[in-house]
Amino acid sequence: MNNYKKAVDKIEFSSDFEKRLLEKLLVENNRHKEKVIRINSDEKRKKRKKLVYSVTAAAVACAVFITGVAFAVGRNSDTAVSIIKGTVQSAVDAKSIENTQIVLTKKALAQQKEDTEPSVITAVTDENGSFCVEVPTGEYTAQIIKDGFIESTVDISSQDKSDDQYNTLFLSPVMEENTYRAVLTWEKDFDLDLCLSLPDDKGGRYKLFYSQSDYVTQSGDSIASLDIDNMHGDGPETITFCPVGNGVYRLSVACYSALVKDSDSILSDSKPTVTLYKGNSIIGKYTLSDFQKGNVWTVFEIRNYSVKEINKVSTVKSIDEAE
Amino acid sequence: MDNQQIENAVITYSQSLLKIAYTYMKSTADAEDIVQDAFIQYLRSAPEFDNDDHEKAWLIRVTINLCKNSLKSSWRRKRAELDENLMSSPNEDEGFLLSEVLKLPEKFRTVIHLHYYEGYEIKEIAEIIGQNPSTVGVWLKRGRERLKKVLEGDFYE
Repeated sequence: MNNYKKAVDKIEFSSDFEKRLLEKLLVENNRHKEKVIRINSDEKRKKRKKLVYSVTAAAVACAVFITGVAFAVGRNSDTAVSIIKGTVQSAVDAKSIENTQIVLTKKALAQQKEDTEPSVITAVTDENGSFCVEVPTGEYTAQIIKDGFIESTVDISSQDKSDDQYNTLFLSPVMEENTYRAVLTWEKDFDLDLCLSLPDDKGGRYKLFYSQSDYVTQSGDSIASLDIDNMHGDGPETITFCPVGNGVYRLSVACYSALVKDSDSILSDSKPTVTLYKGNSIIGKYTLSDFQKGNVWTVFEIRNYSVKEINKVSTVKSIDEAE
Repeated sequence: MDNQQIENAVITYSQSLLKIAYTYMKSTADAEDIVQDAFIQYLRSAPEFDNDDHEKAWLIRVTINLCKNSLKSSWRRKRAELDENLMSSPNEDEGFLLSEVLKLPEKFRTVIHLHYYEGYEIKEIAEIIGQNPSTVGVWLKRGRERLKKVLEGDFYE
């Protein structure tokens, strides 16, 4: 053991590392303190302004409201202004991604109406991976674009300005050609789990899930891992894997931690969706339909790089039973 | 956070964290970046610790998580790409031993390092990395077995 310690002690890092690190941390610490003070001051100032002007504002608002109601009667409701806001995160570590482009395209209006509004609006995420943009009220398609990540498209609805809910959008980093990534998202606050059943190198099968989150072959290669295990609503849970050989790789979504009976539909009520990536593109998107009873949804199988959708729901009493 | 507290933490823990980060990143420059990020998290989170051991364990855990996230952001199979500094070790046996440890799968490497370099017991390692002690014991045993094949007993106590 002494040889290992000696070897590690001889690793040469930068001689001035600690000094540079300390300088940077002290600057960061002061900046952080100033920011906290500034935020607190801003909040106090805002509160004072609210108190002083609230009565006047209420009176003005009433007058405006009355006038606005009369004015808005004949107006086209589609020109009402709403917002779309959200954050963009990496699907492998849930870290925010800044400078991501969000291209919002309004879905087509009815043919008889002339659309004079802009049909494409672009936003860019800030340093926290967040964006917020005013849009004409309606339904949109959002393209999410960032170098080094696989472009993604989702449907998104505009919301009232007072609505504080954020849309969380996920991007997968680009991978090597024969690598797959399955990303699970869902809508309700239940604990859903991704599970990948794969061939092991002893002729049997290995189950990758929250309790066994890595598969390393005998030769030391990590060919599958559970990147994120999310226990609360909307996800993601992410498994990345690189198939070897001719065996079957089977992906399932389960609700092990919920007490479910045969007749329970917690799983399908959560509207789980699995997005399948391969290399640098999305190759499949699978959503469990409503009113399915059971606690395990077998989504697809991959054999020799060919994906076959299974889409079967079943009920198991324990993790060991799930294939 | 108090500036003195930050300075004490850097002086006390940075070398340990650099070495742990090195076992993941296999590059002194990348290890230094990771440790810098770990201390920035430390500064921003300003957690309260029961004692120094708790503080060190927290920093180790953050460092390991940052290493894993950094490696996963360009997800690929791990290969032992060793830093040039390693090759400059004057003692060939020590350099060879370290290079063989760095070739181990990540989780074997981590427990080997935390046990043999940092001196943590299995239960302590399990708490730091969030695994159960029996799993850590298995990883330690498998890591030693692999090294034994290569080193013919040099590693053993």
